[in-house]
Amino acid sequence: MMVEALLETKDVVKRFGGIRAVDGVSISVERGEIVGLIGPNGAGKTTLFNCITGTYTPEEGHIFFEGKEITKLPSNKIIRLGIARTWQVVRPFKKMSVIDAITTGALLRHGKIDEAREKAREVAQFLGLPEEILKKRGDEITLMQHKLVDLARALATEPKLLLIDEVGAGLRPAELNMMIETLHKINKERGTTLVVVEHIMRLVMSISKRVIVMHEGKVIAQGKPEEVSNNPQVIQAYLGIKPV
Amino acid sequence: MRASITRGPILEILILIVILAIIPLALMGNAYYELLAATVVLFSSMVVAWNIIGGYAGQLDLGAYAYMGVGGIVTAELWMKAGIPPLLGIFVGGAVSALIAILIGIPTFRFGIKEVWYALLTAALVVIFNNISRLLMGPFDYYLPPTTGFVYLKFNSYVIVYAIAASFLIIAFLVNFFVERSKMGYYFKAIREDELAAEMVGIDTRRYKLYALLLYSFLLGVMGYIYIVIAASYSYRIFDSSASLSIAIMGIIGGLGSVEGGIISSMVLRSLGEYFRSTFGSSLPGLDLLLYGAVLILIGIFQPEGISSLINKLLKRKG
Repeated sequence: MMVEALLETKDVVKRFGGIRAVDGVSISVERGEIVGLIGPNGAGKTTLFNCITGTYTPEEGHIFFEGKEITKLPSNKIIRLGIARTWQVVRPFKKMSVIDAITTGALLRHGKIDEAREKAREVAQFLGLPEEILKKRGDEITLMQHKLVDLARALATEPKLLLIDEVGAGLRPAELNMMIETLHKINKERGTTLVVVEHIMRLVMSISKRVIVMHEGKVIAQGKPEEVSNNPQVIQAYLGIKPV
Repeated sequence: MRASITRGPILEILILIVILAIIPLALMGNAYYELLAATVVLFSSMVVAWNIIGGYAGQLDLGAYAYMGVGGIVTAELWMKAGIPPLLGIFVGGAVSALIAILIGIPTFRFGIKEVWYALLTAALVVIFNNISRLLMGPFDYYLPPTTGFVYLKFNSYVIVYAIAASFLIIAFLVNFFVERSKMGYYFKAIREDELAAEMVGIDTRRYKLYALLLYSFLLGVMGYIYIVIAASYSYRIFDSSASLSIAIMGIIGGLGSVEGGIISSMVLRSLGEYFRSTFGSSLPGLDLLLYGAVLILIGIFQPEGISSLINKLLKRKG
């Protein structure tokens, strides 16, 4: 029996002028997975994220979430169904306190401020954000804290699927280890399915059981991390030469 | 936490009421000053209403006088042409303003007009309304009937006009207070901070921007009639671009999202502006506008987050 995938894209195409940024991408993500999405700069990974979350509407193809077509839905409806995302460059609510920013996310499923605030505290605690950070304003915290706050804000919407865009960029090695642990924890303890776009191979290889490789808008390989990293096509895409 | 939330507004409102009550006493029955005080306080309530769209929701709306003017003219015309007393008419005026705002807001937000383009569009609105009303009403001044009475919101004493303006200020303050502590307030601020990120926590940003526009335009529409009562007459000139611009300027000088800052900046600067106008108006016209501009530049250089952040710093130093 076929198990219904959590997320499925079928021949998705997104063009910018003459460039096909996403060119017929069909992927599927199972419930509970951590999938790494890698590829050289300009491969179309972020554009694919933007298509899934409704920021862009694809010109061709279909996107299904839990078997329901979401291709042309507005972002807020897609998020309500249970998808959330973070960005490579953090997008903080600078002039709000950290707890208020996370509460904004929690308000999606808890209409009362008090309940949403409680949910926000729970998520912040889960991610290990210390209490004194919560009262600070968005423009008073460090990059690592920003990344955690962005994650917390997304998690507060209680997503089934979390799309994470280059969360490792700009982090120091020790912070990177913490981030890897955090992502594992989100997946294990909250049961959130993760799709992780990443350039830092250490991060991708250590957390994902399956890796999808994109190049020039197309999926060129997928499979276990070690299989993919030995795939000649993948090596060529990254290095631009044929392996000897 | 909860205690401070409930105590906060009562204390602030009491302070506001006391200050508003002391002002007429200090004027010692001078009718001219009472009228000026009513003007200043009404102006202040418009700035507070603007805070909802400009301060919380972050949309640089320059069209305050379009909504204010429409509400005022509708109320006055309803009284003069249909005999509907302004006490009722102001709400119709507010509703008409809100309706027009929504009709303009839907396509505006649908096509993603924001930032400087939103500012330009709303500034143009005042000019458009000015031209349309000149076509419809001609170049004449229309005077309100001499009748006075509570249902007409017209009085022989300027102190009562002042009191009406003051109660508008308190109502606008309360609306802001409840908005800020509601889901709407959180969503407005998220839209102001980062619209795409707001969209990605599931906010229907278009719908919430419309809510902000609705509250703001309704409040301004209701206030319009009192503006006319203070001026004693109305004409197409009620759609005044530079006055409309000064509402947003006061909100920015006060600090975006800060009601207290908006009240302080608008009261102090408008009073000074009126003083300049009455003292130097004939020899140096436009000095009041020069004052606003100068303060805006100084705030921009030294206190970009407005007077409110200055107050916060002072409070922190004390505590």
